[in-house]
Amino acid sequence: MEQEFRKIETESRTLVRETSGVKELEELRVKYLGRKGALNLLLKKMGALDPDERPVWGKKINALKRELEDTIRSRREELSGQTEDTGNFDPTLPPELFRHPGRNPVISVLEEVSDIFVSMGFGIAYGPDIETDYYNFTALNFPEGHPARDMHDTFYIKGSDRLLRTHTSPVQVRVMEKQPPPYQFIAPGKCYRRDTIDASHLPSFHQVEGLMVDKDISFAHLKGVLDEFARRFFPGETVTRFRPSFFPFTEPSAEMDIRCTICSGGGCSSCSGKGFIEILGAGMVDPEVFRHCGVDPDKWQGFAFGMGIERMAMLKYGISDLRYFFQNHRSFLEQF
Amino acid sequence: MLLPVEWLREFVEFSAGEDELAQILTSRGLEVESVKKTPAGGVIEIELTPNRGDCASVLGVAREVAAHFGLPLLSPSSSYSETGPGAESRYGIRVEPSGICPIYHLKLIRDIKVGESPEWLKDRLSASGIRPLNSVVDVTNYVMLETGQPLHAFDASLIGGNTVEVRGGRDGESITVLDGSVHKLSPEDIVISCDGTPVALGGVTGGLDSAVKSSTGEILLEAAYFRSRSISATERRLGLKTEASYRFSRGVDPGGLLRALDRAAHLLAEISGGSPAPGVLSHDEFPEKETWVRVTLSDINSLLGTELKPDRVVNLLEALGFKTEGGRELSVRVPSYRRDDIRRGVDIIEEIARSLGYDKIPSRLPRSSVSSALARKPDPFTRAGEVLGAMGYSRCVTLPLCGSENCVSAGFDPGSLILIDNPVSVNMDALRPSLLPGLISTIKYNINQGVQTLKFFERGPVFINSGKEHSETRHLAFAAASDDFLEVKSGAVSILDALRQGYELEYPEESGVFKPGRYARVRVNGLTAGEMGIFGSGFLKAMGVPGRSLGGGYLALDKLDRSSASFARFSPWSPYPSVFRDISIVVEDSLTHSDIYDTIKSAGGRHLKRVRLSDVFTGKSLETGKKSMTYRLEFNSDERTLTSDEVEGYFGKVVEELKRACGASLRQ
Ligand SMILES: [Zn+2]
Repeated sequence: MEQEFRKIETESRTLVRETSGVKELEELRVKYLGRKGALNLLLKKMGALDPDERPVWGKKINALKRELEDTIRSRREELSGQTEDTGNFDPTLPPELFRHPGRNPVISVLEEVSDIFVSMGFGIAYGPDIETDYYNFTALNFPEGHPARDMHDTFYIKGSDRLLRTHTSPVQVRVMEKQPPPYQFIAPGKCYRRDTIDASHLPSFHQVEGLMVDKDISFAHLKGVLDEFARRFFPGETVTRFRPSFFPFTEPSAEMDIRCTICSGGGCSSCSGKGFIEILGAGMVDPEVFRHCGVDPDKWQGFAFGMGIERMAMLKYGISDLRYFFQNHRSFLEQF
Repeated sequence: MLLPVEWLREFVEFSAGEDELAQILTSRGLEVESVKKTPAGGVIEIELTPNRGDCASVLGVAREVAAHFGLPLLSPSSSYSETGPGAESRYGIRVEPSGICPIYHLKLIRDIKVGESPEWLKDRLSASGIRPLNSVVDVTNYVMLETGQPLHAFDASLIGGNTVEVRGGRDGESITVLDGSVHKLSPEDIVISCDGTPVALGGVTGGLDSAVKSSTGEILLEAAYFRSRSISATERRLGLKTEASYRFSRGVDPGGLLRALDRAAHLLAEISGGSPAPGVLSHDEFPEKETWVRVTLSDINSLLGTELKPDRVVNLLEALGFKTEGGRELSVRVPSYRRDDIRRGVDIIEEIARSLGYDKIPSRLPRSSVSSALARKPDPFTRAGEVLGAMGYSRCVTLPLCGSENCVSAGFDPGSLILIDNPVSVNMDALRPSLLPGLISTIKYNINQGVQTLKFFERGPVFINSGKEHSETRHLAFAAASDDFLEVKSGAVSILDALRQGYELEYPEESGVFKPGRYARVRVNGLTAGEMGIFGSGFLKAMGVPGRSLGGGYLALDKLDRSSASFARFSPWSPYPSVFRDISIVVEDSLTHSDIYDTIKSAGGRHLKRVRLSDVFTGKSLETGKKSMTYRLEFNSDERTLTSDEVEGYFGKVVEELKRACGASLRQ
């Protein structure tokens, strides 16, 4: 016993120390520590020993086992990284993938647009989807008999004088009524128009509208803020163009276009040959709107703007059909 | 509106090409939709905003172009010689009530020989999108396109009674118009009538019976001024849009009627051999007063953010036909063709900005002045979306409109629906009372598209009619292809946990749209704040996905504590190790986890920190009607390391109580 143990002890220590490959090390491990390894065989032979000697040898053998396990482990760590044995493992196998469910493009653009204005110092205000004619039209200077007020264009609620807001501008009126100027906030939310669904119409969509009012807020500031927005929202060099337009609640009114990035202004099918793409409507708040809200138009002035979020998402991501936004095809949602 | 560029060049001698012209018009608020190049020259299509009736003509657009280049605006020739007695010798006009038509002129032209118009005239009409008919009708259309004033020619021999009446339509009356369609009239429509019979729909189109024919020899040429609101109402009510109504509904120039008649008389004399009678027959009660508007230079520069000098402002306005007096304090006379649109100082400022060009106004960032009341607050519910996203749910946005019939058959209370008075379809005649139908429809669509991963959520408003009011509340809902109640429960409970929201769950028998026994209700602060479960077969059938196993739930976000997720406070955890004990018991099948959990919790003492169910087992090795449940109990103290004797004591109490209260036996 004694002799056999000593032999295994010296031999194994030397061999483990001198091995130069992980593979050989593994062979040594099997040779000495494996189920049928030298040390286990030695333990089995203890049956032949004197009962008094058994615990002594048991302890010695187990101590050597632990020692060898430790040295093999540390030797393996030393060797790994040098001549690693790759075995038959195929690292090109696909792992189990967490498929990100995507970010809804409408929500994503809504948040991005909001973030840009918030970073420019704008607050946020919300209002109800079910509105009154007063907040949606009258206070915003829509004349009696204006086509937008027609049953053809606006959803009305049965058994009530309420309607579904056609823009988020009523929020501006609600805020201005409630607190004195100055104002600087946006109003994001859902809007409704009485359209049948097709590639460019949805009966419900999202808007972000904004208002900035102070003693000296001018058309130049309108341009400054919206130019800055366009530069941050659209990738690359963005060229804007402001042109006169008409809205009942602003005077002067404007529409902002950006130069078509596909044709650089020369005209192509993406911009229907115009060279520019319409982005949003804006203008200086009409004095009538201020009066309706109890704000003195001789003391305060400012601008308002509004944009359709689905439209912004279409431009940003190159989506050609509005219907994708409400169908919620998983393959659509996972792309963003 | 289509505009042949060569026609424009007749009145302004500019050299710019079509594309440059298009840019100029767009920059002045006359948005050019397209530029078509034809062998006869370019044709531009302009989309007019509703306030620019003054530009619904070649001359109107020419005025803008002339102002832009600083060129003179030329006038068309309108000379002719008059012969014979005036129209008043035979005809009269009656406007009743007088307010409905402020100006009504008729000009008599004799010796008309109706034929074909000359090529140049026909070409211009065709290029403008109007089909040539005969030399009389063509002239009225030509003059309308050129001046913006719609004209109408009546065959004088068909005017019975000799008095032309302008009045409201009468109930029961109808008229067959030029395109052959028949329209029932109402008192809001304006009718031109002779001998009690309508001969034209004022401001919109003529009647078929009084139309000019090849046999016509004498015509009455009408030029009227109708109020834009009344014409646009008739236009919409009858669904009848014409070139005339397009112009009247945007407002025509009340000062341009006679000029248009003269121009038409000139052309008719030239190409149809007509002999205009002297003068016109008139009804004119249009207020003569000129419109003057005051505006100060400082208002202009303050609103626009510019530094314009007085003479620059005056030049910009006068180029557009405004007359000005003063310098820093301006009085501006508005030309008749803009008097509908321009009444106030800001309207003048807009004209200045437009004439200057928006691109000449500087672009400047303001000082920010946000009020703290409106500063954006962090969204307390972002974690809900994060949890669902991590579970593989895609966020959708569905339409907030739904079909009431469908909702009712799916199990929603008809009284709680908010209905749309004028829906576009029966599938969208109500506001959604819940997000779940939209999500089920989304799953249905995705199934039909062959999509495998059927997990969706939405966050948005739902609408309930409580009888007293229409309430809008915000919900978060999710749905997935699943028949595993615990999977669904995991979604709802994980969200609540992530929001650090305290809640209780109830398991009522009445389960609404969900399957009985696979349903739970969330209670927060004593109120129902959500529901979850596997959807019932009736609901799924009504939603068009019969035979599918779908589950889901919703949370009413307004009922949750908003502060819980956004406001966290640090609390230290125990530095001492926990001691774990496992227990496997056999109990009656009818006993719930919730009963056992409560028993363990109340018997375990204050150091029992957590109880986790690790296994439920029913099977051959057990008696029928029994189940085995394994729990892992975690004991921990904040003050010291618990001794094993101590833990044995607590554990023993738990075992004892489980035997006593739950009839449990220990399983080895
Ligand atoms: Zn382009």
